Amino acid sequence: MDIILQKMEEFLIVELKGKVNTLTSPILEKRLLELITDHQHNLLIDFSQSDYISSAGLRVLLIALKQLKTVHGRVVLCGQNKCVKEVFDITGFSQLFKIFPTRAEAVKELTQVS
Amino acid sequence: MEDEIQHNDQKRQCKIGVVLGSGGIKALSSIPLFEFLEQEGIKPDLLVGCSGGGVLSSAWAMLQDASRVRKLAGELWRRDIFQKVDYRTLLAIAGLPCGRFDKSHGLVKAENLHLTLIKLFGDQQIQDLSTRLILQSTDLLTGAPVLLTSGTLWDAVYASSAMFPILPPICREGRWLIDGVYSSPVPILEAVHNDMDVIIAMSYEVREAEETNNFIAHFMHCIAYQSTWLTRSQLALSVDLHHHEIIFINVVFDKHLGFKSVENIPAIIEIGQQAVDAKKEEILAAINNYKA
Repeated sequence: MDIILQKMEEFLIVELKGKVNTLTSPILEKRLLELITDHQHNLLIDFSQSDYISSAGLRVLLIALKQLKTVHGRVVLCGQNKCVKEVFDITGFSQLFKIFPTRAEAVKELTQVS
Repeated sequence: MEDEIQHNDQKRQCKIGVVLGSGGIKALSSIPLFEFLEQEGIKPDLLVGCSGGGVLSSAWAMLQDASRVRKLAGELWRRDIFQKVDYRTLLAIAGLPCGRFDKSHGLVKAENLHLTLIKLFGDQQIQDLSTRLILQSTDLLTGAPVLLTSGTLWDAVYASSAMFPILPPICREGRWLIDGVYSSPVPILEAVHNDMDVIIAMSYEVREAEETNNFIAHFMHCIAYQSTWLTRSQLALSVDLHHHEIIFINVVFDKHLGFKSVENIPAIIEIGQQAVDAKKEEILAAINNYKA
């Protein structure tokens, strides 16, 4: 899995490429926690290049969400394919996160609220 | 050769839990999962079942042979099991004379189901099974979840699947018990609580397009929706609390399948086969990537 960062004015885009599973989720966790420690408190995580997330990956997102809540930050998700969306839906994670179909819609949400 | 030994060691170290959720006859779609695990030489350390999933997990725990469970499918669900209507309960609901209802009754009499379960499970005790089994039930009077881990298997299976008020509750160790769907439809938290490393959880969902005017179908829809949302909140908590991987197999059906849908058994198993096929790689990866 590759993690590609793109800094925007008010937030940071975290684009995931590849599978988020047992092997790759520790890398994602480390990176997200580093970013939050580095005062990146508004994150947009883009799944459009990722076709799979396991429960270990979901747990990492939850850790980031909880961490961001303590610093009044935000995380929004976008670009989930059918498989990833299904995992979020059946585990109840769709209720925990703000999720948008496209990056453009997610950017609009972040810039409007900012 | 060394790789194979290492692979087998990993399999042994990794504790595997299989959780089968409520879903009545739809739980027969878990038979291909048993077959797959047996083919791969994967023996679960824990089985947790609720309602229909409780029936299937109990059958597998006792027989230890998926092909025998498959042959039993027609015995587990037969039309005649649910044919004895309790007319005095119906009269009581309508407020008519001769009606009678108390907490030991339901709309259908349970005798045929009791006899079927006794025939299948005999006097098997839960604690004597070679694979550890937990069945999820609910206390009728408090709504509290009840975990059945010992005692006679057949009445525990009934307690886990007694869909009150259609089926009457059963009194077990001084408590009136009903279907586990009312407290924990897919009891993954029990597998988390018991420190399973890889948890394979099956749930069964109906996404029906057409509306129906059937009373029982509407009642079952309401139970299914409540079950789906309760499951989601419990799954989110399970993911948060767990330390390795939970593999979700959500088997989706396009129509409501009631107690008597026995003619659909082959189709139900086939839908389960497709759902399991799609998750085989994920299951093996989770086990093989486990590090103690």
